[in-house]
Amino acid sequence: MKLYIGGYLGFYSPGQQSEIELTLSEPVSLDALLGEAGIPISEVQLVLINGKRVDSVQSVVQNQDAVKIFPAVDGG
Amino acid sequence: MKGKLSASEIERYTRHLALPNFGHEGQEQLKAASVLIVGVGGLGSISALYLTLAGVGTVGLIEDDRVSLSNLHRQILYTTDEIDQPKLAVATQKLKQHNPEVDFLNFSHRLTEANAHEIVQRFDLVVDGTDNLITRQVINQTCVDLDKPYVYGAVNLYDGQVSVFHASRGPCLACLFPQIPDQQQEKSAEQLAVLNTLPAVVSALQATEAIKLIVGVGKPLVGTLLIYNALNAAMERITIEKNPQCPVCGS
Repeated sequence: MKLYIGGYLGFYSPGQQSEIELTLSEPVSLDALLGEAGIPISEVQLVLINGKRVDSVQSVVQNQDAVKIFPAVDGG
Repeated sequence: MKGKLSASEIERYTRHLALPNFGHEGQEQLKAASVLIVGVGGLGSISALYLTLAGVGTVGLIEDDRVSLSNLHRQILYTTDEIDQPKLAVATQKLKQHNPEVDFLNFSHRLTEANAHEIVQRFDLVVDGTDNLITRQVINQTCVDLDKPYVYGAVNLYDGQVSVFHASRGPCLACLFPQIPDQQQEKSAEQLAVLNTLPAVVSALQATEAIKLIVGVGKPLVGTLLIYNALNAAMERITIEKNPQCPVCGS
């Protein structure tokens, strides 16, 4: 599974990486995954799974999925 | 006469006038148009410059800040010897030099719930140059109330977002982001970081959308969020649905 961590959320991830590749042996909820990666779910504003927006961080993701998360992008 | 092109304007905009589906009529529509740019910082200084160069007849600028050294890596209207000067005065002077055919309306205070309707109603559309979510919510609510297009743009680190919100024909900002997430009030320097070219990319796209809306050419980003990632040189288009239960634009 590929996880892109957009904006400043990358600062929370291990090694401050913006892209992480993970092997999932079974489907997991996105909030559990982000929790393990140390990313505060309350600061995630936009979630895309395979290019489509999903409303909930409780969505289930699978090994073949590409997931992108973004914080509130508020700079100008 | 507002809208009719003078001889010097015909020469100035030669490269526009020859564009397919644009021509004299499109340029006259730009001259007759009025655009409000909220914030003349990283995004706003570039969208203001391009909309001025494009020949938008009336450009409104809202800005209450002064030039600081940390602005200068991305805010192209300001220079080192202008530090501590009011951005609004500096920006207007430069923009007038770039195109004296344009009229400017300046507002040297922040856009708030109290003044937004009175200001926004004087313009055809609003371009986002702000640096905070609160002002973006004020723009969104006001544009929904007055049925004005809102050309949204935002940047953070290596990511940028662009969209056009126009509630009478698509979703609004609150349809996309119903809630502001729990952010700490004061962001760290790292969290405020931005690659200096990112506002240029995003605000050039915003200015393009504004021109398209005014001229009526092409397909505006209504119902679409464009996400630009500088690290991967990638653009992603996300479909945004109008939310019938949206607290701002829902029926």
